[in-house]
This record gives sequence, C-alpha cells and structure tokens, in this order.
Amino acid sequence: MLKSQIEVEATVKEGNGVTSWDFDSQVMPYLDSLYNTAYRMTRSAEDAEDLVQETYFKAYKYYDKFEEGTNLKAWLFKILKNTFINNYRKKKLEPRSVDFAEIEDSFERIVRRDNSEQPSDPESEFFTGVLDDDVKRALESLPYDYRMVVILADLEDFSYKEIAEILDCPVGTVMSRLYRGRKLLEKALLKYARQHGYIRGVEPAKMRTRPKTPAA
Amino acid sequence: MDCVKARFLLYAYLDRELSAGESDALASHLSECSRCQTRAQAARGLAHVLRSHLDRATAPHRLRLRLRQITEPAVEPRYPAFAMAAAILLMILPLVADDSLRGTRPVSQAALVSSSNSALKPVSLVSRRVTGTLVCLDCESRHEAGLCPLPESHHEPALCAEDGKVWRLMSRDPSFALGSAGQTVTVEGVAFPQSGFLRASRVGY
Repeated sequence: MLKSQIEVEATVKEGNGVTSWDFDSQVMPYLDSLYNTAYRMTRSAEDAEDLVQETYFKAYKYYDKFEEGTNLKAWLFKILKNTFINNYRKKKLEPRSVDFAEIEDSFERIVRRDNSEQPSDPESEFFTGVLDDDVKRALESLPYDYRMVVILADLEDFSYKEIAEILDCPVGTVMSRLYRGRKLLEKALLKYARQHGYIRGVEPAKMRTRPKTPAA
Repeated sequence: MDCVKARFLLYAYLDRELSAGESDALASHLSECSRCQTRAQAARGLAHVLRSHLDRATAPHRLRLRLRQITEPAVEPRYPAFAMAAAILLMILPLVADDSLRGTRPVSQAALVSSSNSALKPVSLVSRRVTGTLVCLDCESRHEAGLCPLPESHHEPALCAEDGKVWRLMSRDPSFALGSAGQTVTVEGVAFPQSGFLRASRVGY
C-alpha cells in the first residue's frame, strides 16, 4: 500500500488517540440538544455557550474514556451536568437546591398526601390559555435538580435509565424528582393562569370544596 | 390497584416506562377511576405544554466556531511563504487509495495560509474519502434523475454520501471521469465541509 505525504500526516493523531474529525462528527449532532439544555439550566445564552464549550472541551479531552458502543448522548449530558453543578452551584448563581432528605426518602408519603387532597388536581383545560413566557418562567423557577430531570425527560426524551446514568442516581430517584418537578411546574402554571384570569379566580381552599365537574 | 399506587406510577405510565403488566393494571384503574383520569389528563396536558410552548434554543454559529478551535487548533506557520507553497503542493498531490477505508473519513489535514491585510488566517484543508451515489444537481432538480450521463458541461455533479450529506464535486482535471448518475462511487479529494464542495482527485468504482 502506498501512502502519500498527506496520508502520513493524517496518521499523526491527537494526543488522546482520536482524530478531530472522528470526534467532531460524533459529537456535533448533539450540539443543539446540549445547548438547549445548557440554556434552560443557566438561563442565559452567554453562560450556556460557556457551559457547552467547557463540556465539549472535556469530552474531547476524555474521549478515550468513552466506551465505544455505549450511549454517547448520555455521556455528553453527564459531563454537561457535572460541569454545570461544579461551576454554577459554586458561583452561587443558583439558589440552594432541594432538601433531598425530605423528598427522596418520602416519595410515597408525598404521593399519599397529594392523593388525600380533595381534589388537588386542576382541570387540564387551563393549559390551553398558558403563554409561552409562563412556561419558560415556570420551568426556570424550579430548583435546578428538578429542572434538570424535567428537561432531560420532557425536552430531550431520555429514558429513566439514561437519566439515572446522567445524574448518577437510582431510577427511583429519577421518578421521585420527576414527580415533584412536574407537580411544581403544574402549580406554577396554575398560579400564572389564575393571575392572567385564564381560570376562574377561585382560591385553592375553595377549589377543594368545589363539586367535581368538568370545566366548561 | 389503588389510587396511591396509580399516582405513584402515573408519570412512568405516561412516559412508557412501565412493564406491560403494570401498564395494563394502571390502564384498567384509570378506566374505572374518574379522579385518577383527571390527574392523568393534567399530566398529559403539562407534557404537551412543555413541548409546544418552549422554543428549542439552537447553538449559535459563533459557538460552533469556538468549538472548532478546540479540535482544530490554528496552525501558526513559521514561514508563511513556505507554508503557502507547501499547502498548494499538498492540494494538488493525488491521494492514493486505501481500500480498507470505507465511508466518509479524513485522509489528511493540512493548513493553507492565506494572507489578507497582513493578517494571517489559517484555513483548514481536509482531504476526505466519501462513498455515495453520483447525482446531477441540475438534472435532479428537473426530475430527470438517472437520465444524465456524467460529466457534461451543463451538469452539476454531486455525491450523495452515505451519511446523507451532499457534496458538490469539482475537478481541475478536464479528463476527470465520473461515470453516470446513480452509480455508487468513492471519491477522494480536498473537502470544504462548510460550503459542501469536494475537489475530487480520485474516483473509485
């Protein structure tokens, strides 16, 4: 086999044994997903760019540690999440997150309490009046642990198993955080809907005694 | 199944994360319990709202450029004139086929230095080997695919790569043989990924 001068040059690989083209072509398809998640987490386009850049850099640096054939998207998101937590929590840009002792050990207690509220569930019709900005605000109002899990499940369509892998936690924790996160979102949206007058201005206390009929 | 259990599993049910047995049990509970049905409706509504009311942010172009600098550090030539000459030489050097290589992958990388206003801007030149189907962009657009033997002066030969990307083919060699539209070929040459041009130096059938 003959080799031209160019080919000889090409065999000189990067320090981590990966050609930039290999890496680029593997990772670039996930760039928008990474950026979208970074943007939802940092709530700023500038911070999101920095976060993605750092994630990309780390992924490139440690690409030889990635096992071929395993889930590259999940691996990238794991780096993104770790980088986010290290950088942004330390900088105190984020409020202190949830008290996990309270929620993680008592998922079932929370469900029981929710279930005993009579009736605690809003009719889903109120969603029809919701504004884009409300949804953005509601999502951004979530503590970041909940926000992350909702983004991964509802916007990025990761499975529970993949989310557990990204967050380094058991699947049960993913379920309880999703439950809490979605309930908090619902509550926030319900609040905005009341403020805008999309649903009748009933107070939560009155809702409990209201007869259960489908909203007109 | 009672309501507490149903609530507990509801999201997993909607996310299609339950086993078939659990899923059936929950579905049958929902069909009997109007309260849990309302709950399920609200949960579905929320999922829909999240998807329909949040624009997906897409990575800005400048971020892509920043990322490219990570994997393709700019080459600072010590002797710009030599580098230019070397780059031109590399461009015209024919590439030698390696049959063990398949699909789209880089064969080489070199830096071309162009000088504009005394500022040196390194440009990456990437040689690639692309396998795909030959098409004529002009004839394709006139729905005459397969009717045009390539090349002829009015044709716009292009290669539909296996990964879906379309490369416009160029060649400086007038005797360059491309074959006919519809053929699967492997083309080697200098690639300009952003503009989608592939300057072919060699074609294999």
